[in-house]
Amino acid sequence: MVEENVHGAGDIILNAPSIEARIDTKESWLTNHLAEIFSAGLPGNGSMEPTKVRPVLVYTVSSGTDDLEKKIWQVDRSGVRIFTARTEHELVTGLENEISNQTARSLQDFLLFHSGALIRNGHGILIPGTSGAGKSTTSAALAFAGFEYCTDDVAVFGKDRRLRPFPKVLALKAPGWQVISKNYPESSEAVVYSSGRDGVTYVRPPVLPSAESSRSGVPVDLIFLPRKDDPNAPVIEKISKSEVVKVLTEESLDLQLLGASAFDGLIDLVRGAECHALNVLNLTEAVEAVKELTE
Amino acid sequence: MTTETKDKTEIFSGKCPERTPNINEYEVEEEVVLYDPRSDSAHVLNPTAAVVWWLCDGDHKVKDIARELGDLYDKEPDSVRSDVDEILSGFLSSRLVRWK
Repeated sequence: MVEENVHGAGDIILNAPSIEARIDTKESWLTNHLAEIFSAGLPGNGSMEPTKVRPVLVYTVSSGTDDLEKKIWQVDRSGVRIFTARTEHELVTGLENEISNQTARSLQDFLLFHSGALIRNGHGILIPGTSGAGKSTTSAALAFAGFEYCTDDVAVFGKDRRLRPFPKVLALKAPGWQVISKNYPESSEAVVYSSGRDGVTYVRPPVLPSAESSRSGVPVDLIFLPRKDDPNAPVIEKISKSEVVKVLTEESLDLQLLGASAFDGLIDLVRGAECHALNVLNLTEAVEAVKELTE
Repeated sequence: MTTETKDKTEIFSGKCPERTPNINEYEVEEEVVLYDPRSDSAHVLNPTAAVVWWLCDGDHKVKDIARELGDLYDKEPDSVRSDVDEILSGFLSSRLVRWK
């Protein structure tokens, strides 16, 4: 996993404790956008400790022509072609996916889940779910309601079972962005990049975790499974912890790699948290209900 | 229960099911959660399935399990046998138990 160390090549777009990503390209707009996309939950001071193995990835982005009509971008990583993009949108989202995946892979001793995660008043909140479940939209709503944003996609837990941030801003598909921009108009000023009307909109969350929270992590004591199937369901409803265990098992990114002891961690996580279904069909009510539980 | 399931458990009714090694077991609230690291999957057992699981110790035949379950719920073994067969069938298809 350790790539060729080529410090000095390209511009840094991600400088995280577990990984460094650089881009070597003439397209300065691309460098700027990617650096902003990966500007959440970041180091600088007070981040978690650097990992023992810290790969440096260098992406080379080139195109065969300056003719905008015919431009096709080739993206290489350490001299190996990883994809080709025919539009700017494909290029940005393709690189974002690639770097996000590599960042997740670099967190080798951490337990990772497909989940939103935020913090409020010292309460760590988890919103696990598969793609389309509503975790990004719900995470965005909570973020714009003032919750400290850790992630809308990859929740990171150390061996201490404490939550830490993942270095990527909110990424909302079109339906989710429509809801957020309508309910939180200020979010329009926080757009980092939009890949078109039907694409992904990357949005800077207003509040990030403190340096202390990022370094030492936060315990999770609330887990919400987003529900969108019944408008008449209560906004918040207690659910069985075993149901949450099942969902987290399905949404884990590296449980099998870490071994059975990681599942012990998952069980501890769920045992230590209150577990609820959250009806996100009325997002404003859902946010208020979560606020009450985190006073 | 399908005919196939019924046939399968009847064929083995003289044998003893036993828990597959290396399945991790946890109690979460009132349920039992099994984690199978081979398939990275979690299985949630309600209280009845949990009892059947614990009785899959390689020493109890299927009819013994039905009798024990019947005693627990104050029912005749025959009346719980189909539940036992269904639960065992699920365990077998998920490879959580095997025939000794």
